[in-house]
Amino acid sequence: MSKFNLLKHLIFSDLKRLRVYIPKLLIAVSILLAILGGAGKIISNNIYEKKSFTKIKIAYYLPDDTDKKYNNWGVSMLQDTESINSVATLIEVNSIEEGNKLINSGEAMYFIVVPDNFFSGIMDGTNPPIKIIVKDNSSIEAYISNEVFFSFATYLGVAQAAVYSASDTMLSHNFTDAQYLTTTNTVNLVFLERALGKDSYITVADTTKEGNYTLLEHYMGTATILSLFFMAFILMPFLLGYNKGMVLSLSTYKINNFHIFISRMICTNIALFITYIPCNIILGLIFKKLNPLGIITVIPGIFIISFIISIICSLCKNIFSANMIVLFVAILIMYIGGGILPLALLPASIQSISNYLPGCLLLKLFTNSLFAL
Amino acid sequence: MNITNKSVVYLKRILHKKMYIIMLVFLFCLSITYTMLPTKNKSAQIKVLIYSEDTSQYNDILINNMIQSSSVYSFEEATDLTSMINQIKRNDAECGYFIPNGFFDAYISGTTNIANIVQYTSPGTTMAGTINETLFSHIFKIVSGELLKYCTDMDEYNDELDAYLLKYLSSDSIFTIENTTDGQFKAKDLVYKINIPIIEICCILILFSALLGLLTHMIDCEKGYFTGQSSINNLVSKNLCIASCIIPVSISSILCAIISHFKLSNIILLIVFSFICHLFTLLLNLLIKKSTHLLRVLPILTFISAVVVFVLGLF
Repeated sequence: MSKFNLLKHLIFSDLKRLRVYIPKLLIAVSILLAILGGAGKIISNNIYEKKSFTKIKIAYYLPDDTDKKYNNWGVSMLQDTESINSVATLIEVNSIEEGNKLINSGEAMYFIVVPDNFFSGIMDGTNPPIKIIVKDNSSIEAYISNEVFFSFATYLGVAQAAVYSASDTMLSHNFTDAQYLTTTNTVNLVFLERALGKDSYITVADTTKEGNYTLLEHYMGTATILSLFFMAFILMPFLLGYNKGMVLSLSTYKINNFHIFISRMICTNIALFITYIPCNIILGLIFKKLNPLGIITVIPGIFIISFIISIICSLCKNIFSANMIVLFVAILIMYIGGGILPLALLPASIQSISNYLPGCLLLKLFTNSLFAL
Repeated sequence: MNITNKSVVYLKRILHKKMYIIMLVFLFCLSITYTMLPTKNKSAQIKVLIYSEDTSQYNDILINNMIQSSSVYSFEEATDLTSMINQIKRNDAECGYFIPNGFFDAYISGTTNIANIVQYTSPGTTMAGTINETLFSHIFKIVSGELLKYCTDMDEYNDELDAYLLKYLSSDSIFTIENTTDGQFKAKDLVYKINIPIIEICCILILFSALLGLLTHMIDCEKGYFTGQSSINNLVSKNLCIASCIIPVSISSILCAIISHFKLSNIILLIVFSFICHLFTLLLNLLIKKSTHLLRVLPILTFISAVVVFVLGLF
C-alpha cells in the first residue's frame, strides 16, 4: 500500500475517533461562549474610565406676562439640546420664594429668574438682565454649566449684533419697509439655524470601533477565538492518543510523526470548524448580523488555531502540560493582538510587535466572519 | 497516623514541588515590584484635541482662540489625525475634533454633510454635548461677519456691516451674562500608582492550589494509598491534603496584601476566599471522581475563575 493511501486510512480512522468528541465540543463551546461573551460585555462597558460628574438641577422662574409663550418656547428649545440634557435637569418653579428654597436646601444648584418682558426686551434691545443664583460655584459641574450658559449667551448676543447691524445699515440707506422686514427676518432665521442647528454640522465617530466594529463586537470575536482555543482541552486525549507503542507500530508502515501531525491538524481543523458553526449562528442572531459567508471566510483563522494546538500537542508529553501551555499561549496571543485590551491601551512596545503576531490577524478574520455583512 | 503527622507529610510533599515554590516566589516578587513602582502624575484637566485641514482665514483664529480661552476644557492642537485618535482611544483626551477643508465655507452657506466637523469620542466621553457648545459658540462668533454678509446679500454695504457688527459685539447693548464662577477652574493633578491586580492574582492562585490539592488526593486514592481506611479517615485525609496546599499560598497572599497595600478588608477577603475554595473543591469532588477528568478541567476552571475574579475586581 502506498504511503498516501496509508495516510488516507490514518486520517479516516482518526476522523472516526473524532465523532465521539463532537457532542462534548458543541456543549463546551456553548458554555464557554456564554461565559466569555458575558465577561466581554461587562469589560467593554467598564474598560474606559468615565469622568464622573453629577447631573445638576437648575430651577427657573418664568413671570406670568405677555412673553410667557415665547419664554416657554425658549425653555423647551434649551431642554432639547444635548448640552443641557447631559449636564442638567430643568425644574420650573411657580415663585421666586420656591426657587430660593430649592437653592437653600441644596436641591438645586442654580436658580434662574427670568425678568418681566424678557423676550420683548431682547427684541427691542433693552436686554433686561437674567438673575442667576448659584449654590456652589466651585465644583466642576458649576464651571461646565457656566460655560454652557456663556455659549448660549454668545449665540443670543451675536445674533442680536447681526440684526442691529443689518438694521442700522438699511436705515442709513433708505431701504423700503418690505426690504427691511425681509432682511431682518432672514438674518434672524439664518443665525438661529446656525446656532441651534449645529448638530447638522457635526458627525460623531467612535474611535474605539476597531476597524468597522464596535468594542462589544470586538470582544465577542475575542470570546469566540478563546472558546475555540479551549476546545483543545476536550480534544487533548484524542490528540495525544498516540502512545509510544502505536507510533512504533505505525512507523513499520512508514507512517512517521509528520504524518501523525498532518492527521492531527486535519482532524482539529474539522472539529473546530464544526464547533465554530453554532458560534456564528448564535452571535449572528443576537447581533442581527447573520453572515453565512463567514463560515467560509473564517477557515484561515481556524487553520491558524488548529496549527498552534497541533504544534503544542507534538511538543508535549502529557495532557496536563499541553493544556496549561495552550491556556498560556492563547491568552498571550490574544493579549498581544489587542483582544483582551484594545490595542491603543497596550504599551507602545507591544503595539509595535502586535501586527507581526497571529493575534491581530485572528481577530480581524473572526470579527469579519461574524459581523461583516 | 495522627492528624498532625499527616499534615506535616502533606506539607512537606507539596513544598517539594517546584511549580508550587515558583508560585509562592512569584507572589512575593509581584508585591515587592509593586512597592518599588514609582508614582505617576496625571493631569485631571479635561483635554480636548483639535486637528484642522481647513485653509480659510478663520481656521487659525479659531485654533488660537480655543487654545488661549479660559475655558474649563483644555484645548490643544493635535499634530496629525492618527495621533489624535490614538490619544482619545487611550482616554488621554476627552474627545477630539477634525475640521475638514471647506468646513467654514459650508457652515456659512448652510450646506450640511459636505464638510462636517468630525467629533471623535470614546466610551469614556461624557461631555461631548457641552464641549460642542463651547466650540460652536467660538465658531459662531468668528464667522458672524461673513454670515451677516451672506444672509443680507448687500455687497456694496459690506464694510458698513462689518463696522456696525464690530461696534455692537464690543458694546454693552447686546445680551450677555455675568460669570457665575470664581476665577479659572483649577484641575488638581492626580497622583497614582500603576495598579497591579495583586489581590485578584492571589485569589486565582489560591483556587489553583486548592484544585492541585484535590488532584493530589485523587491520584493517591487511585494508587490505593487509602485502601482499607474508613470513609471518615478518607475524608480527613482529603481535607488535610487540600488544606496543606491552600495554607502556604494563603499565608503568602496575606503577606503580599500587607506588603503591597495594607487593608484589613483585603486580608479578610483572602481568608474567606481560602475557605470558599476549600469547600468548592470538596463539592467538585462529588462531581469529578477521576484524576484524569480533573486534569482536563483544571486549566479551564482556573481560566474561568480568573475571568470572574477580574470582572468582579472591576466593580
